[in-house]
Amino acid sequence: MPELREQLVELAEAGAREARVPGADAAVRRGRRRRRQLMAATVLGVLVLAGGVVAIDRWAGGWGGYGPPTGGRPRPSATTLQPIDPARMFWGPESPKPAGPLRQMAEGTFKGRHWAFYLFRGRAAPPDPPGERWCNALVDWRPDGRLAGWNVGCGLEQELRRGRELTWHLDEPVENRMFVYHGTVTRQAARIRFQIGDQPPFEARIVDLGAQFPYNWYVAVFSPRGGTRTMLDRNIPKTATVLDASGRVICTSGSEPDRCG
Amino acid sequence: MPAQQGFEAFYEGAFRRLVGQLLVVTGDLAEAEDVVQEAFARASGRWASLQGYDVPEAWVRRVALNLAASGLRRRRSRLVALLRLGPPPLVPAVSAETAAVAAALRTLPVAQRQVVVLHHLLDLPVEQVARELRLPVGTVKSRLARARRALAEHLEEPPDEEAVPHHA
Repeated sequence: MPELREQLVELAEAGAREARVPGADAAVRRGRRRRRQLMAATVLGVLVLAGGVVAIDRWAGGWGGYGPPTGGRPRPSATTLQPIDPARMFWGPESPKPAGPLRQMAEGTFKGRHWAFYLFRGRAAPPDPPGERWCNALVDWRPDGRLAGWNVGCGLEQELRRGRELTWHLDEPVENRMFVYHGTVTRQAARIRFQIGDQPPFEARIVDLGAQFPYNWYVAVFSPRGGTRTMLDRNIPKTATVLDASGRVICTSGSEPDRCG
Repeated sequence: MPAQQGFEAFYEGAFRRLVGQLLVVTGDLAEAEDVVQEAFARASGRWASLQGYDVPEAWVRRVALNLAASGLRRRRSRLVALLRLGPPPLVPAVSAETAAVAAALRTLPVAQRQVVVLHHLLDLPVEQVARELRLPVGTVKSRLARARRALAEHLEEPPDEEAVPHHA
């Protein structure tokens, strides 16, 4: 398009001719001002972040002195973990109140932080219908052993009624770059493989809950590239594949009928 | 200071040229001046490394193109559904045909204007446009095709009524 080029050149030359030139000094001053503003914003951001961390530390550190987590395998590190108190931890009007002991299903360390998963009977709080139900809790500690936070959920039985081979939940402990997939899985499952986007697949740890449960439990701890919840919430394909002991696929998420996820 | 002198010479040599190129993207001379000045402000802070580049001007142009794109997007979202009461864009005096091209360019998405400038004004091959904008070659080609089609539609002269054959 030679005519288009000629007209673009005319326009650009007219612009170049009539441009006001503030000068290199003005550009340097503007650059300095911009860098100062950026630095001030960074310092302010760090201060706000530090203030938030201190506040969370004080808040989480206030729950102490109520007995250590029970059961499970010995911890890989010798750090003394701050004990937890279920009766006081799961507070708030909408939180389920434990109606029995916490059963530790799995524990481990990830990037120097200790975590543990518990199953317990919880007494429902309004607006849920009254009665007891199975609940799960993910608790995590900071590298120095202080309690960092916990996530609790009680939607297990409701999901099981939908006849899924695998139920799939995502938890994100407070102030951490660790994410946890967990849920129930058919007792025929020997392996569960997850894939997020084009990252290498990773496998979950399956926990045998014993004959009293019609299903088993699984936990998969991971840290996705990018490491943020936003990254997980974007439209990045996430798949789960459940395999039996012979390697046969029991179900894959997104397939029809959707019995997996 | 030699480094400072080098930046000044670079600025003096490239500022007007870049404003002219950015005018094609922004459609507004004041906006073009501002994004180019901001790009030079950012270049001043990293001149020590930029002066070693083969074409430091390409870096400044890319920053200015990005600033123009984000500025246009910001303005568009701010002004959406509002009656625009401000002054019309500042465009230097040009021929009627070029003014028509400038007006047609303003109707294109900014991403298409960017590729038009680099390919049709600066004569850069598609592969280099893709490198400069960090886009796949296919994306650049499709944006160019869409831009050309849209410009052709906007610039097409209305048909002469008398020349249209009448059928009984």
